[in-house]
Amino acid sequence: MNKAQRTRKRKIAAALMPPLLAACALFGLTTGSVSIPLREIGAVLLHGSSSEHAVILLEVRLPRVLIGLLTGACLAASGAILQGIMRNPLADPGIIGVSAGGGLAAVIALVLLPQWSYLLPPAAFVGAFAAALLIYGLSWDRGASPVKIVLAGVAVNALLGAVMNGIMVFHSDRIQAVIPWLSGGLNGRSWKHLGFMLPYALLGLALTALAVKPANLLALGDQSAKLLGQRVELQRMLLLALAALLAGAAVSVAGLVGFVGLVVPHAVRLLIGEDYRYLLPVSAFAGGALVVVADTIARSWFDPVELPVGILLACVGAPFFLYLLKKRSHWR
Amino acid sequence: MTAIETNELRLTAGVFRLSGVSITVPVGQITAIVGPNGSGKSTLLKLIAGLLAPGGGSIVIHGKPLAGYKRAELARELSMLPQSGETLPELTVRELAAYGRSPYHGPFSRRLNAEDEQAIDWALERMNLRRHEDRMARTLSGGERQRALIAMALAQKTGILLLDEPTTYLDIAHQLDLMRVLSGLNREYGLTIVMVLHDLQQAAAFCGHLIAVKEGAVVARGAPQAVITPHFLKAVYDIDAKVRFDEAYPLIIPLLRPEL
Ligand SMILES: Nc1ncnc2c1ncn2[C@@H]1O[C@H](COP(=O)(O)OP(=O)(O)O)[C@@H](O)[C@H]1O
Ligand SMILES: [Mg+2]
Repeated sequence: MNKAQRTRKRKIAAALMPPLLAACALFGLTTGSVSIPLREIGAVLLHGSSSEHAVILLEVRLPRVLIGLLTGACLAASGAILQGIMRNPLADPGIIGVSAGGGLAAVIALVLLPQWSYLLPPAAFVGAFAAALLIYGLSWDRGASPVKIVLAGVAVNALLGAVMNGIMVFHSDRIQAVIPWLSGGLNGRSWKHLGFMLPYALLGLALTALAVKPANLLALGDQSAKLLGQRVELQRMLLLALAALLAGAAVSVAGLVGFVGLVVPHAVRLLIGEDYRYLLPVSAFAGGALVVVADTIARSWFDPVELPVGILLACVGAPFFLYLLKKRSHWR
Repeated sequence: MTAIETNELRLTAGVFRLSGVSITVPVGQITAIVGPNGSGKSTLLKLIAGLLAPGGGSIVIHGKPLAGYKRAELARELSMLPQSGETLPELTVRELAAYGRSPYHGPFSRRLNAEDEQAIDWALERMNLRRHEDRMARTLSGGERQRALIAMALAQKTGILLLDEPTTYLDIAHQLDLMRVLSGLNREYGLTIVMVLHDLQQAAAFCGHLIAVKEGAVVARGAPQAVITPHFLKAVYDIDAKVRFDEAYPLIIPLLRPEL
């Protein structure tokens, strides 16, 4: 890729993202057990209506599409940041256990404090950050090697999963609330849930603007970043916290949705390069689009079953992960 | 005036020990650090640049203890080309050089001002990279890549430049090219340069000061013409050789040991 090609690709990507996102959102709004034509969507959104379609649209599909957009955007941005600070293309909040940390904290909150559901996002953030610190500490040695990070992630994931299962066994009377959430999906998510995650997701996504420069400098390597006057350890910690905030916001409402943070930044990197100025926003857009489309397909193609979107994404993402692992096997 | 002063610097890393290294680097001169592989040259430079924490002793940069510098403040005083660069991200040569301006900005600001652009232009100019400035850094040859990284260090506009083996992987023409560019910078701007070299001839021809390191200790220092002697070669590299100077260049003629 030379400079002219890179500029062209960046421009195309930047111009394409908003229409792509809008198209995916409309796909999500029109498609489902009843299809609602575009004309009607326009009419309902502009003039209001109390028809059955309007209720489906406004009470079911619209919040769900918005949650899907935010979830995808947060997971993709989180993955892009984690890959940068761990200097590792396999870092993804789902794979390395950041989401599981958030998930465990959320399960604890759901089971033990069911009446305080607005605490879910902050609880998920704390859990995700703790898990991220743990994995980072376990695998970091002047760079987190792909193998180490995956191994540490597997171990942490297993441990957190066991604790989660343990809690559910001991509180089997209350797991009704937890199960749909665990499988990673947007079934039955409504405006209430959007309200939970919105402030955290927007805060996290806005803060990615501040992550650009530190992330780009860290990509030069720790030594070079230090020589350029950067406080590398502090920056890495703050970026880790931001990645946890983003993952926590997504996990708190959508549950354990994996692979978005792996697949999306990777594809975007291949297309437009690794400059975080473009990588972060384009990944966020693309992640939002992917989750909305995947969720729409998951809930409409397997009628009468609504497949949790996490399952569909795992079916696509897991092979991709294995492919990456194979391709990069020469990396320590 | 001294640019860098170390006092009884100590460090233990595994089996390697740096034992009580005291050196002074004069301001406005080119200082060569020589010594066998594994003698601790890179370690010494990393300590001076604050990349490693010493196990004891002190380092003073431009009259102020290293510990008293904030990272960004140090990066405005001292820049360094490390020995083995990591793989470069997908950047143009100019973008790479522009990173050299980071110490002058906050951790989040990304705008370059006129002074930054001027420093970047100057750094690229000095390294003869103006015509390559829009190329992707990954596509550069070894010598060009080395110069691009030095341009980044120059854009930091520091008074001290540390270079760890800048010429090791270059052919002789590119080596001499780089040495000329560096001595020009030293002459015109009074830039203090400390460089690890393996070529004693170039050390003698281009450097006013020489420090020899062996097994983590300083074994010789002074003007190269005075320091490079048969005794020195025996002490530092354990070779028996005659030394003859042709202008500034020492000719080192090994006395071959009989085959056993
Ligand atoms: N992080 C480290 N841990 C253990 N040993 C190290 C480390 N870094 C360097 N060394 C050892 O320290 C010695 C000096 O290394 P170095 O300063 O790179 O030598 P030079 O640059 O003179 O070739 C070598 O023997 C090297 O193996
Ligand atoms: Mg070295």
